[in-house]
Amino acid sequence: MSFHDPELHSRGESRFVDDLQIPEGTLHAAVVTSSLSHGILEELSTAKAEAAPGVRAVLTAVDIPGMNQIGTIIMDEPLLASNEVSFIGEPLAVVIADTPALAHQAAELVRPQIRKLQSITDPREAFARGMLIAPPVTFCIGDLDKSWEACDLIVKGRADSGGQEHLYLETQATLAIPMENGSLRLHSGTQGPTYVQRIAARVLGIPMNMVEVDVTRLGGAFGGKEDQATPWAVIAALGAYVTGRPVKLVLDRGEDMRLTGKRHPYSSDYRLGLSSEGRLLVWEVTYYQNGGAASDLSTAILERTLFHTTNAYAIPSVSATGICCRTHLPPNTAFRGFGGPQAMFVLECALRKAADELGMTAEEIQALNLLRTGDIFPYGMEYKGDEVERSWLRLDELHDLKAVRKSNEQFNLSGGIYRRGMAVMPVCFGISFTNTSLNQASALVHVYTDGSIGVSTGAVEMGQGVNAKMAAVAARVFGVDITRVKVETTNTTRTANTSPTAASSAADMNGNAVRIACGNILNRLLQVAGTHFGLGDPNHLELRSESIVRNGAATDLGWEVLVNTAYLERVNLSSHVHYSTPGIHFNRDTNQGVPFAYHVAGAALTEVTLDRLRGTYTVDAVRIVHDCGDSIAPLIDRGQIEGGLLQGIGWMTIEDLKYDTASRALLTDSLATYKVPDIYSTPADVEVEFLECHSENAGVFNSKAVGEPPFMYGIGAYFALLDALGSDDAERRRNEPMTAPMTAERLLGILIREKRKDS
Amino acid sequence: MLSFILNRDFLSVEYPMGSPVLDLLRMDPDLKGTRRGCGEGDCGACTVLLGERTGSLIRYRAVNSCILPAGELAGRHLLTIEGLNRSAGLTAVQSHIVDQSASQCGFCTPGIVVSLTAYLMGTLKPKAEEAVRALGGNICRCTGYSSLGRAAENLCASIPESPSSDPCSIEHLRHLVNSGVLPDWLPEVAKALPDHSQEVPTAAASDELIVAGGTDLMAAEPDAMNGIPVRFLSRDPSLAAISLDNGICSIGAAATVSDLMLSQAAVAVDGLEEALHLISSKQIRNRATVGGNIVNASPIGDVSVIFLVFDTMLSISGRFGTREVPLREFHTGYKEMDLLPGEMIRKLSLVTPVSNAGFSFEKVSMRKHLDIASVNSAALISAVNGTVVNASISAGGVAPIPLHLARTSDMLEGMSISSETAIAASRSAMDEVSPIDDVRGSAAYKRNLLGRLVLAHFLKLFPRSIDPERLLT
Repeated sequence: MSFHDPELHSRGESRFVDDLQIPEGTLHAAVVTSSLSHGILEELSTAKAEAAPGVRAVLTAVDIPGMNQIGTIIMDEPLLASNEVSFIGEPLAVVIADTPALAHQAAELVRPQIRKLQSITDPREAFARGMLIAPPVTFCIGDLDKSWEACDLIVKGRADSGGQEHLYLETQATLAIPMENGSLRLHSGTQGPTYVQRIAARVLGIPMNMVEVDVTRLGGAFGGKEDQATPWAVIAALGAYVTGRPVKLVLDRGEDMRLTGKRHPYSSDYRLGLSSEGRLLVWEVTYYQNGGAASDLSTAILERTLFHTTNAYAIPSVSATGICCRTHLPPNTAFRGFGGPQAMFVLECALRKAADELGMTAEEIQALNLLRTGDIFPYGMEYKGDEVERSWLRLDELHDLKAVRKSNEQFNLSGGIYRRGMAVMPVCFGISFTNTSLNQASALVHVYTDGSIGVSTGAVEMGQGVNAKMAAVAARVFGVDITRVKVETTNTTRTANTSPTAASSAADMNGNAVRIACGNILNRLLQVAGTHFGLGDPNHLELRSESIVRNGAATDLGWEVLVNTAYLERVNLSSHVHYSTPGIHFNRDTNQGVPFAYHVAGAALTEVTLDRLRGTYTVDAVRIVHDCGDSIAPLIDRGQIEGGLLQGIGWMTIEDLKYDTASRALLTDSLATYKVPDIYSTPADVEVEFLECHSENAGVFNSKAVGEPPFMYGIGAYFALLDALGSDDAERRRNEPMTAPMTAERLLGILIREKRKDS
Repeated sequence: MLSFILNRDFLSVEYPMGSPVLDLLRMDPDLKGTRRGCGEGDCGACTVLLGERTGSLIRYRAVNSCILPAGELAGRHLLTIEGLNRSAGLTAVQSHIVDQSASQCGFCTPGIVVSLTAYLMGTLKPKAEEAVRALGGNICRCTGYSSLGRAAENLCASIPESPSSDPCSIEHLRHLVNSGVLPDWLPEVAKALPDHSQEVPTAAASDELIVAGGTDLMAAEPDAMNGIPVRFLSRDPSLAAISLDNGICSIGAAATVSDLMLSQAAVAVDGLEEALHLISSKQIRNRATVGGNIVNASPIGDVSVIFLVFDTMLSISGRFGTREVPLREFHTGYKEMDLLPGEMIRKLSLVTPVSNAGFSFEKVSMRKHLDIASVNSAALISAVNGTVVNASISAGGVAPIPLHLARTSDMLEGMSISSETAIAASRSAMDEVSPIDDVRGSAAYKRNLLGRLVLAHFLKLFPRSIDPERLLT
């Protein structure tokens, strides 16, 4: 029996929420939402919908038995609006009917009367009007005044990066099943089972122990199901609670795109001071984050922006301010990188500008300022690794960055309509939740009497391969074949109070919990084996290749016999272990501390060819050197790097969210209008080399987290295009507003504006 | 009653003819591997194989089940991921995907397996780059496709060349059974399919909805076929015939884009096959028809824009007989056309270009493939001794209809082939159009882009006479 996810996936046998066999009598929910971006809900008439065929209930805010509140960090988001509506797509009512079609038809009959109010969707405008989700936060280090005086060059400017639709292939989905005595079981596609449990309990006014959340796997999430799986799960739970029948809610693609938040767009102002030789001396930046209508995770995301304001560079004086702006858009939310990519984009913009002013290449400035061991981050933590510099040097050694630039220059002399460009993108990303209390995980491991093993953790499988990693850890500790290990669903009754699977840290923390739990059972088994061999202490015994090894020599005591013997001797074959990341702390009064267990680093060289005639391009190659520590699953980690990269390229190039200028409705609300990278978009040449591991890390078996950092290699695509655009004229590059994504329309606009200027 | 073969089983069910096959499949608890990702043919998670027998040949093609009306199943073979699965272990396609860890969240994976299997069923000698192209209609948000590329490469290397001479032969199916691609029961089941060429097309009824590929209709108005009689043009093989005779090319209006790509017509016009590759995805090209794209009347329709430059004639038939209308006069306004109720386009006729004529198609969209153009344009220019004898340029996305740029085309006649001429044509084209702002770009962008695409036609067709630097300054 194989529990290997990819085999099930390839046979179409893995089960997502919408694939689960539904219990008899299951009802279906459809959500009625606001079609205005800001207003006062004056009336919500449900009578027509209630009378529609097949309708069992129409629920509004007044039907909520507990609190109408789903906020996690800040309590500012109702489940169903009852007074003010603050974004298009905000849930107002829920129709529960016999079929999804009947529910949707009836939902059309609910007619909300909303008095229109002025809506603000630009974060700078929101800031000017004092519409903030939280007070601004500033990270500060060094003597700024002195540093500015010491500068030979100061560049300043503005940089804007756009939002991004998650476009997980499986849309938001939950099946809520009433159990006895008012309890509920929720099969939810969530990264945060405990979030769903807590908020469902809060909204229903029942204790958490009456809500069981079970997650088999997610069809992609990327942060979009960390906080934002919750409303849909709770709506289904509410429907089940009120009707006493199972209720299923699966958003269709258009709903999912319109109703849920995205990566935060940022608009930023920066000032960078350098010495004449290109050394970075001082960095001042203000990030205006477009938070949307409710806080969601925005403040935490903004904080991670501040943590990554200097990315992989050492800058002695820094003042970075983050402003979380409230706007009338769906609440923006977590997305791979969690604010880090937005920060890194701004600094790279400044570096390009400085390089042009100094007559240096971007790589020269970058290389000169890379973080070295012992450098201090703006939040006071010392950089303990050396991988930032080593990955850059290795990339240079493999690909000779100067030679690439030279060969591009040569090509561009006679490239016709084509121009080549390049960019190197170094990344240094902190691993741990910056909210220190979230850095805890747990595992429950059972060894059954036949020798098979069940592993439960708080980690949710969403394509990142965490289940395969958990199985590998268990098999490695026990010295048994991996096919003996089944990784169970993530379930709040087996692993309680879980942190969401996020911040790239699930394999690290849950893996360490699995390692320790398996170790506990192993020690008991070795005691049993010691007794079996008449030894007082089992120190010379090991379990390898499914047998006890004594003083390095195999014995005939195999895994299955050993386990059964232990059972008959009434030895505990289960272990529950809680793990918390050691040594991390952060003081929010001073914004100083050691928030991260460690940093992940790497560098990527991106090469593009620009078609100056059509304003189109190809990303020809991305060559990456990445720090995975000692990878416990190299193929999985490589997949994370390649996948993160292409998502990052998408964010920087073709993924463009468009809104109606008058109504602020999302125009790009389908796959026909919002384009994510396809197989033709992937660079012809993606090379990945794992950096040799020299360090001791906090990850399991010295491996490192891999989920988010590679996303930021994609930023190189923007700057490689900028490089190609500037190949004829650095002036062009200097004057162009730094706005991502670099769409074909924007590219041609730049090319044609330039043409006009010439003539 | 709808009768067809679903995987191994003959099936007769009561099911609305116009409802999507995906919904039919997903009602069955054992057939959950075909997934709903977008519901409009833009992600490929619901890809299935549709098989059809004509004489001794059985053709299987990948299609999106979310926009496939159930009525199209009648008498055909519907093969889902579950039908491809072996009772134990993995097929060759599956094992290469697993070996490369080319499946992450797994939601899209069954569709990818089906698409790659369909590719192998349609080719005698697998090539990695073609296999990758076959995945153009499958969106994966996790892998970045690199591992899928490696899997496709290894897969193609592992499948020996087919001993058969036709990919639609039973022999080829047997070869794929032996190669571990298909289940061993498949050739026998396929042989049991009714002969499609023996089908008797039903007579036209006045109140029926005529459906060609339905790829746009099902995406835009999923309920359009609810409760009304529907006539599927795919039931009449004569409507899909493509012939080339004495330089006259005749294309049945119900020929799919894939049919056209595989036809002699594609061979007769240099560059046509590559142009057709830019239309949508494999799954949609397998359903979308030439006539359907013209009647859809989208101002950005790729087929219309391509055939406008060939001075194509449409044969339109209706209650009062058949009449001929030039394609250039067919579209009369936004989504308006010279077509009376009950009439339909039966075929397109065009004269294949003379040897000194060059064809070019340009399309720029947000994403290069499986996307609707911001602007597309075709050109057919013949030149003798450096002088334009005849020119025809078309453009989409810049007017309420797919536009033949008559003024620009006429102006070019007699002009010398030069950068200056290209620039003059480009300026003329920009003056001739009236684009609007929409989600595909601003009016200014579309006008500029058209100008650039006209330049690109000249550079592509006459590289020796055109100076790229001159075009850009």
